[in-house]
Amino acid sequence: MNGLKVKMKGSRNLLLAGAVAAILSPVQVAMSAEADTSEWKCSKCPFQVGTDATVTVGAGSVSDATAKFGEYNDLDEDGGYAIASFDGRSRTETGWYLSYEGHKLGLDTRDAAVTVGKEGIFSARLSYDGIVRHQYGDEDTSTPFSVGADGQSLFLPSGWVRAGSTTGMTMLSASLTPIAIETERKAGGVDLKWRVAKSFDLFANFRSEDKQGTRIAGVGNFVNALQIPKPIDSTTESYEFGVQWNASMGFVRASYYVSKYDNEYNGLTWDNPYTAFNGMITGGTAVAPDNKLKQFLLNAGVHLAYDTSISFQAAMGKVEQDSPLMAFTTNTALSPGALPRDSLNGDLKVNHYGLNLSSRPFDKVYIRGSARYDQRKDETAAITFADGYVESDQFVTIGAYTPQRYDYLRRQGELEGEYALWENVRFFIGMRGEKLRRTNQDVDETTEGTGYSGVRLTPYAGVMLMLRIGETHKDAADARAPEAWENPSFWKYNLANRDRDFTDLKLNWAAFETVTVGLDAQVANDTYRLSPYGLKSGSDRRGAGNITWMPKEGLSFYVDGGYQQMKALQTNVNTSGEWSAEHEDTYKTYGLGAKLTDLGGKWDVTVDYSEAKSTGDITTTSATTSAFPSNNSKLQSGRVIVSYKFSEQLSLSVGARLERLKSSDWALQNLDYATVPTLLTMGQDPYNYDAKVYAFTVRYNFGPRRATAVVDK
Amino acid sequence: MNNTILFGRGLRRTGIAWGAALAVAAGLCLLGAPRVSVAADDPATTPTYSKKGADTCLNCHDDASIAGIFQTKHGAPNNPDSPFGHGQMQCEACHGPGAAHATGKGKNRPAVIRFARDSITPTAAQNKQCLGCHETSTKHQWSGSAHAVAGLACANCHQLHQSRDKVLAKADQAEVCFGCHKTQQANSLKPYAHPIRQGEMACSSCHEPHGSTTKTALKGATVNETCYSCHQELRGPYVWEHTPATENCALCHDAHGSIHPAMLKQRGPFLCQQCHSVQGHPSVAYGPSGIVGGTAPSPMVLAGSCTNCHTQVHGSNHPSGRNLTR
Repeated sequence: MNGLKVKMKGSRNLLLAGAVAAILSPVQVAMSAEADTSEWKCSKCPFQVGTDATVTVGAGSVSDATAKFGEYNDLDEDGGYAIASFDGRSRTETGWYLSYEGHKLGLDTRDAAVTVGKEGIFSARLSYDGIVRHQYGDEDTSTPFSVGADGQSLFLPSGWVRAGSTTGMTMLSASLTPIAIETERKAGGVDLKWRVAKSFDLFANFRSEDKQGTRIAGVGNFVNALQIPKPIDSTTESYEFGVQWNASMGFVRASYYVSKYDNEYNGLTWDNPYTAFNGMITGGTAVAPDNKLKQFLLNAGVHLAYDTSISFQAAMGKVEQDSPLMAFTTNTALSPGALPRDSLNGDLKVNHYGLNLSSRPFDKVYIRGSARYDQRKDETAAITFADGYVESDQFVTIGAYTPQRYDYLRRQGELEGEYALWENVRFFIGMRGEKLRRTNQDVDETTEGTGYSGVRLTPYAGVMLMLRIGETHKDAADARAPEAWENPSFWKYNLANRDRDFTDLKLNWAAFETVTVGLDAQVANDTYRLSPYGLKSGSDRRGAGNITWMPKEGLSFYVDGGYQQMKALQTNVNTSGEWSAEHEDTYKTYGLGAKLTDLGGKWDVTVDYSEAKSTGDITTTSATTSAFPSNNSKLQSGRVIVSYKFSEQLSLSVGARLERLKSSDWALQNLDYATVPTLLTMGQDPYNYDAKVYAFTVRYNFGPRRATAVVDK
Repeated sequence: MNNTILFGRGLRRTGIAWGAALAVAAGLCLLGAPRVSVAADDPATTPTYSKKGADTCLNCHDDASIAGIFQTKHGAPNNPDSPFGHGQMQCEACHGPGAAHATGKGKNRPAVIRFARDSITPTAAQNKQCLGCHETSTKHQWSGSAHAVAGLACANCHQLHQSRDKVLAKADQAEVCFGCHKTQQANSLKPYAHPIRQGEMACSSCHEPHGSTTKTALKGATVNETCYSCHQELRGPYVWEHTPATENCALCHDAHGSIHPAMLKQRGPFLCQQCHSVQGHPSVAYGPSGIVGGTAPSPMVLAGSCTNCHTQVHGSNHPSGRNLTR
């Protein structure tokens, strides 16, 4: 018997060795006859030599000052603005080149880059990228607070009348000062690449990003809350350097990456506008702590016979955090004691490994698989706050608190096989598994298994249809015993047992020579089968499609639309009994447009319009059933651009964009600064705007690009 | 606990059935499928290259749309790795041997490899030309990627003869991706979304379209590490952590856009109450009486809801921040 086992084992090893040898063996592929390139002069090739550049300048006008319209395009102010952009490239016969580009230079949201290099040898790129995010303009939000010189203290005006509720703050109206809620990022970068030998590259990247501005933050004093303008001022510097080696069979890329986040502030203190209880005339709030990520990155791939590819990614590193801790409280009337140490000295180990495999061992068979390992291990030394913890800057609590540290270990695997029944019918089936282990949470482990199958059809050229159906089951294990104040029947939704079925459909269809149709749809249904309370069920139905018609070269029309409906049901129980909340979000879009290019060699015209409507409904049931008002939004956006080409060098464009957003939101509707006695707000309303933008630009091309593109016959 | 079993309890319910089906399907395939042909072609029918390379091609293909390639890296004569580098195969490096195409007449003219959505050249044949250089010269993991499995050709996204390839430009890339990803296109118009439609962010800011080892082809090693590449301030670790934030940003946020502020998947307080249920205000049934105009407008419901007080939802570094209020 033992001999038989040995023989079988030997046979398996032999088979395995044979399979490996077959994969690793040199591939015999169809080869073309060797070319004699001695006569290949490329004398008619219009290689670029000299300078080719384009400059665009112009002016625009915005009708209304609305932060939301200008949220990311920086067109938040009414009035005129400058338009300027450029791009170009210079090249010498010996392969030196200089390329440059800049966009939206008349605004704060702009970018520019310059690259210099020698073809095939090295390149150096210098870049700048700025983006402003406008959330609310100074016509939308106000605050009685002013920011101190240190940037991390918020003061109320002298003479402020504290009160137990907002209605008693008699100085409020007179103290409100408009303030814009916006942040600006400015990033500069340098990217270097040097080919030191054939198939051997060195590279180095550096990036520095500065972020400044103001955000709205909520803070409280246990029974009252207020919104404050939180100053933002931070810098992130990151760099990566490494090496890449390429060969005919594969590549290896190794690098070292560091990202260092440095917050200019260590905390934020703010005057308490409410009646000072227990001497709390100020409150303190932490800010994002400095942190530093260091990673070693390894990436490799190899390509073998039978279309077999294996790739591997590893990212091994750690995150450190040693920002100074704030005091237990800013309340000088309290004596909470000393901190156990100056900073958390946070130390996270983050390791990630991934392996991909794909192969086509037979004409009709394609297999692929992957495995992943993700680890987040918190190696921070335990910190215990003994008899010093202060709740809401008002109450020193007795007892010791030791913050929990949380580890995650996620392992995933996937295997999919595809079989081509005919050339245009391919069936596939796959399975995926995930095991996620956590520490110090309600359950130690969740395991999720997914199975799916489907078909990819290409019944004739121009049609591609993919249909996939599947199901997922997630099981939780090793639940901890609930504390006395916890509901033992309640499951957190990401830790709960869940069943999901899903269907995906994708269609791309060139219906006629001039018409294409696209469709993309997904349906998913969730059931939390063992959750007496918590999230009980959910569903997501979404689809979108478009039709494009190109009746002739240079002319196209399109129409598109989308629909999405998401539902969820959650339940809970308290001393008043059980309650539930049903959510239903619907979202609809449609758009249409036309594009005409090169009409008479002179004209380009673009016209488009899109509309997006959303509705969010919540119905709660406790003793009675009641529905929140619908939260609605409707975005309408239209655009017309007409360009006229005077010559190969000179063209003129005029454009108009009209955009309107109307929205309602019960969380902000009719909510003024002091509407709620226990909530002091900054007065923001739901977003509504009606903006019109008009612009004209002149574009001029320097250089011989178009002239040299015409080749002698 | 048995750590050696990757596919554990979750898979047992129906996963075993799916696994068995996969095994049966694989077995049938292995038994029934013919072996892939790897024999060398007959030299008599092997296609040959043109006599003068690009000079032959440019005799006919001389329009500006073709010549745009000479403004790109592919048309760089001094780069030995470029198709037009010294000793390289010029147009035929990508389009394949073209002697017969150049000398053929009328309908009998054999086609060369053509890169386009409507090309008669099979996708695999098109991609093979590109991957011959690019699969090992970059960190791409194309084989087995979602786009490869879906049968996409490189030319579905890239325009190689244009001096400016749209998909490589931050401002225009989404337009190319939205050609297939239509639900993402619709989501980009939601009231709270990343600045994709404004052209200030590209899909490739988060995703690696040529494949990665993550499930949704993310650029970072995980969802969180992808998000932290811009939101570095949330990296932590904090004194007081908020566990879902440390586990997966996507538990609360929808990165492709939402109708709720901060791209949250649902509204507060209900989103928070899907995890927080302890005695006291977390388990209270909040209703429309808590909004302005209701019988008891409440800071638990209005403005930032729970975050009016619990402002540090991503974690707090305050020693007194146990409840994420400081």
